[in-house]
Amino acid sequence: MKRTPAPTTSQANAVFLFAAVVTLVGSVLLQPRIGFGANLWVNEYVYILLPALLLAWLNRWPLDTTYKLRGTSRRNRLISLLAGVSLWITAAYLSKVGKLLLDRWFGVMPVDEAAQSVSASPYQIILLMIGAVVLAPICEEIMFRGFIQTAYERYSPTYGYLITGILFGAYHVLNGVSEVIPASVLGVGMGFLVSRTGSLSSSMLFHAAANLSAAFLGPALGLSAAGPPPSWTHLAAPVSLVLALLLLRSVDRQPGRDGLTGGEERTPLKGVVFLTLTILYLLAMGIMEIVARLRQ
Amino acid sequence: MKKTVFAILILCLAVGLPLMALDLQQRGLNKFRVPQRFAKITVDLNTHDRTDELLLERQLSEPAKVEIMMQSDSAALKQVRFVAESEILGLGQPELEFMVGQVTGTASMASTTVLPAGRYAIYLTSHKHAGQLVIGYQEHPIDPAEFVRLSRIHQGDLNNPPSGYTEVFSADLTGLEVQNQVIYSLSVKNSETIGISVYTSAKQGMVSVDMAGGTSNWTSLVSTEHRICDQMEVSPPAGEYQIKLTCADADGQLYVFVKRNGEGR
Repeated sequence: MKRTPAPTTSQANAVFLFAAVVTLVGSVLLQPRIGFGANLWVNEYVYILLPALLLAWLNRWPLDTTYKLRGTSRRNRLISLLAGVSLWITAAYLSKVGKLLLDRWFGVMPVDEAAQSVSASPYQIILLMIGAVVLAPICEEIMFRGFIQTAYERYSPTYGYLITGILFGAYHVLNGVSEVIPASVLGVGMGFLVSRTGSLSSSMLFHAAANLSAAFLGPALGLSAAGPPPSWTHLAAPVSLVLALLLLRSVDRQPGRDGLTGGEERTPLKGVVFLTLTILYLLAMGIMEIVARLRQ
Repeated sequence: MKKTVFAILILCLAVGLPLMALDLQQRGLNKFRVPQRFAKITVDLNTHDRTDELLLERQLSEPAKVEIMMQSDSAALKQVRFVAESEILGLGQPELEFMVGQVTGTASMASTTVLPAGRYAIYLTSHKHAGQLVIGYQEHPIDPAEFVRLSRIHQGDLNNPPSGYTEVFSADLTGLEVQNQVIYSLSVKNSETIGISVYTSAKQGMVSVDMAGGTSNWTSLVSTEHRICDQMEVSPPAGEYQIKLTCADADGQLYVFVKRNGEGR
């Protein structure tokens, strides 16, 4: 295998396609048998973290510089946590509005009762909580912001976090079409943080804060229940967005934050093919959900 | 930072793997929950196709109440026929038919029938597919006076509750149009056993009495085809439960009796 000095967009697109496909296939096969919680762990460790680490090991990329697996200042960490909670409110609002519109236009999504019955044990709930609040922030940040964003940053840092944010959102089509825009918003926010601080710890903390908010603040604020968003969120969502933007802009720039280059001047044909296949695949997933809603 | 991240990932695995093992173990234990008091038949559905295959044949020397319950971990529908030699009290015909899908854990398909002395049998029609069907059955001889009481209910004299049961609801169903209307609510404590008797004389239209709450539910305790649910004893998980009535274009009457230690609402 030919080694590259840094992640290339071809590798990023290929790994992203692999993760998107195996996450769906694996979940269809495993989730009814092992439950939502355990399935999330398999997704995070095997389909998301492992390929990124394997590539780093094969190419001898140092994780601290290539994947930015390094710390940042206490101030940046605190701001990341606050920005995570703040932007989550906007994302949760967008998710609710998206669900509501999809329900109105295409009908309600059918519920997989068999999978739910398997997942309703206390062990599954603990696994789901640890998976969402600890594992997802670590594994997804290494894959998306560490590996994919680094690959796309070769063109420009802005290009890097925008493309990666959109890919991160598109990946969440597996959780439902209504999750694509909210996850993209969060993804761009996390990408911006990493681009600014040069550290994955900031985006991991942001991600953990957002997922923790979804688990605890969501039910408490009425953002997890079915139905339209509570009336106060019409004001809270834009205010949270502005607050999050201010917080994100206030993080300290860190030295050594520039993206790595080398090994690829422009995305070669195979990289474009992988990306095209990924887009087609994710579009198909979205269309399948719409069809399932229409059939319900 | 790198060391911290990998330490967290390893620690998560150390915590998560035992949790997954415990979850799998618990699910294996809880898949079929046939109470000890039932005799049990386990059918491996993966051996061959079945068409009215005889699973069980029993001879009752005296009138008896026969309880059966079914669970399956296979989602495919299986037809289970319970056939008696003579008329089953509460039914217009000597046969009961069940379509059993995936029913596991605290959920089951169950029925209690009162039969005069004679033979009864259980037949299964099913395609070959992975999974099991578990049928629990239990026979309680009924003393002649009790059999007379149930025969009266079968003839339409519904206000004949068993000893210890109190009436919680009664209604004339003619002209009554309701959908899932709560007719009785009860708060169940841990390990509490609730006795429920529901009788109807409705022979036309649609009548269904259901009980639901938490993750458990019992549907169609009585209907126009199955008019007597006598002394059904359940020990559901603690929580709030409701008995609901759905009725349309029906005739006859409905009586609901409950036996319990605590107070209902």
